[in-house]
Amino acid sequence: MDLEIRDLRKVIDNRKHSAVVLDDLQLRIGSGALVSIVGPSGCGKTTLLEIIAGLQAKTHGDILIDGVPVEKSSANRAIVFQQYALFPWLTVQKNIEYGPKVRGLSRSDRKRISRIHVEMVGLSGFESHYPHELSGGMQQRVSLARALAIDPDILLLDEPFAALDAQTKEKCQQELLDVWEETGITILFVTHDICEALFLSDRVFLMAANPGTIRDCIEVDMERPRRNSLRLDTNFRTKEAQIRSFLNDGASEFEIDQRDRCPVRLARSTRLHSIG
Amino acid sequence: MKQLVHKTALPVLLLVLWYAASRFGRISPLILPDPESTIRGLIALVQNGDLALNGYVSLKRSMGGFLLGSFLGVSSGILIGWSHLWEDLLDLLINFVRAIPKTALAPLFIVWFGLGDTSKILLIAFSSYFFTVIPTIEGVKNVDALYVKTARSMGAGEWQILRGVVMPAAMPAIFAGLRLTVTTALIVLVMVEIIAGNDGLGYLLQEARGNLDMATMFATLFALGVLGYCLDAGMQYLGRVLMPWRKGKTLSA
Repeated sequence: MDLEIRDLRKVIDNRKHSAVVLDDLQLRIGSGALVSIVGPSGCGKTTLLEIIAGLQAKTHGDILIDGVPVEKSSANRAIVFQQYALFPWLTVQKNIEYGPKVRGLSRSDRKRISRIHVEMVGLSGFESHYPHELSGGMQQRVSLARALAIDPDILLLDEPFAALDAQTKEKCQQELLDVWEETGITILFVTHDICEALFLSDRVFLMAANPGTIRDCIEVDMERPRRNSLRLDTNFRTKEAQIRSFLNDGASEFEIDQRDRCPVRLARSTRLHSIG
Repeated sequence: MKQLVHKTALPVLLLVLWYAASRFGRISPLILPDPESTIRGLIALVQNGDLALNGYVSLKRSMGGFLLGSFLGVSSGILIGWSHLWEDLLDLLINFVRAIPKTALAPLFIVWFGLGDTSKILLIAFSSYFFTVIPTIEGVKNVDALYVKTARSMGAGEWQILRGVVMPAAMPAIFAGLRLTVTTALIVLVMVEIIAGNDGLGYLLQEARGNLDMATMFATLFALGVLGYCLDAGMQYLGRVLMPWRKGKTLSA
């Protein structure tokens, strides 16, 4: 499913303070793509995701899914938070069944769905565990499985691996790629980890703060499936350095090789790799 | 075994001190009866049925009031914690009435509802309400916003979020409130039975005082202790059954 954001603006204006959080933000993600947004903390990444998920109201602009404007949250967009947000009072299986249950699916359907997704994230045998009995990496996998269990078209991930140690993080990234290949779902991944963004994505959008807006976009034309050795590739390191200089210095001194640059506004729905 | 020794050491020491003080301390039995006569008093209370009869009456009143008050407290607390409208409507009233010591309302309740069970149960319910509603409001307000966001992002409606997310998430706080409420229900019960009663454990105490029957008084106090302890243990057990995910989660463990 194709996601397009046009002229998005978000203003917070209450008794305590007023601020333009997002302004003139444009974004387009082709169906089945995996793209990342990288930006400094406080640039409005989470706000953007929550607006797309329908959890926050926008001030101006359009969120279009396959050309149709959306406002409220619905099951076609699932969001995964950094802090997992698993329900501590539910077992792994019941957590995954939560979405299907809210949608009124029967017990047997819920069971079938949770079994598929428990297997997909490699947690068979842990169905009746409570979240606090699992490690951070496992908890995040449950969180991913719970989001996938509502069968969304677009998966929104808000720094999902930020709280994990380096090794677990790389493992989870690989697993996310596997899940993406398996499901063909569209993924929008928000992170402040440049390597993570490059490793996972077809394209990396660069976000600037005050007000938050998408400044640029880097094409990651590296072959899939991605392997960990890619992180040492010269091309990869060059792009990493480019993005880092953008984040450190801001857009003014930022130079991206024109071949790598792709227009922010332009639609590109073809995937850069073929599966199988 | 070691734990058992730790847990029982202090009570046993107190019993020994009590025995020694009443036996060798030349304290009048009108002030402090010795353990033996207290036990005899307790046996007498059990044998003549006074304990069972009055204990039953007291249990009925305290549980009736507790269940009524805490049910209303929990349900309205959830509404107030969840909705700003309900909070604005009820906040001032609740905090004002809450500030009045519940025992001060006993004379009024007696005038309004008579000397029988009704006034006692209603006063206990009234006090239970306030001891339950505040922790419930706090518990609901402290529910992690991420849980609510997660549920909402999956398309859950308000009622589904309230039932499936807010209530279980607030349950630990609600249960902590209920445990305190059970204890306060007994406080109000005894007070109201002392000032206006012709049965119940509070009345038994009052009667023992009139008869200068210190053994009965001590035996009744002991029975009240057992009752309070059992009710609290029951609440804890209920908490474990209703919140199996909290198993083994304590700070000191």
